[in-house]
Amino acid sequence: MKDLESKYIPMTEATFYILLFLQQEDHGYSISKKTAELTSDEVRLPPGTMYGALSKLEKDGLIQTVRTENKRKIYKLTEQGQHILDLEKGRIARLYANSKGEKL
Amino acid sequence: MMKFRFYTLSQYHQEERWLEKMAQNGWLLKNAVLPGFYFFRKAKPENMLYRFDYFASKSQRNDAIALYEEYGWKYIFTMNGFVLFAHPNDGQADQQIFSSEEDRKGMILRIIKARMIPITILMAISLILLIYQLFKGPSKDFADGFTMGFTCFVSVLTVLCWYGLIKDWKSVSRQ
Repeated sequence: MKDLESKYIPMTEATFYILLFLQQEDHGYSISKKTAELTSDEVRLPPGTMYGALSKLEKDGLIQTVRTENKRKIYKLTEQGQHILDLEKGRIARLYANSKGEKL
Repeated sequence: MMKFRFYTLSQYHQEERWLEKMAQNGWLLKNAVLPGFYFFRKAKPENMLYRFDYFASKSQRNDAIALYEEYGWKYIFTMNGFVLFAHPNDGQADQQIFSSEEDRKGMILRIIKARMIPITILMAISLILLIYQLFKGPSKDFADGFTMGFTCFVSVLTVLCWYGLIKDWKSVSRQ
């Protein structure tokens, strides 16, 4: 677990948005659309990036395939993934507070 | 129309640009067989994006193709682990299939791991055989001539591929 923490925190924006949306079951293309929408196109997750990120996250046990519908893989966060996402959210909250000269 | 082009493993970006130019001239890629043999059909000149991605295994490739297709990319062919996708350049698709330097380098690393390491080992073995042969003294044996030719061919190819991949790696770092 400690290894995963140092590997993923701080995390890339691609990883952050994938984990964020996979708190509910979802698939790659839908995550990329929701990410583009939520960030006003600031964060793009094109297919090469998405495939690489999903397979790495699955290999590391942060997400898992819940089922496959017509070749489309549906993923969900694992407990480990949730733990890592929560840690990262905490770190970002501290960064944000600190950026305003406040303490968390 | 069929066209043949000689290219090495590391020249995939060059092939992408060439295929895009062909599409602009009204030649759309239909398929490719064996390395270098492309089949085109005449069509309206079109602005197409062609992108190669690389996958070491068939299951990874199938998963990735399904994902690319959802994004609207059309699967064209697979050659030695390289998978070619096409998308009309209509503003709907991202111009790039990777959004970060790390992802672009990830693809280069996948190629190195799956292709370059085996080919480099093959080159090393043939070089050792060649040196052994040279020590044995000159010979006009057909088998020896073949080893010599094969070794030179593999060596030149390997060096060219490494050169191309390292160049690509550096250009990713500069972006």
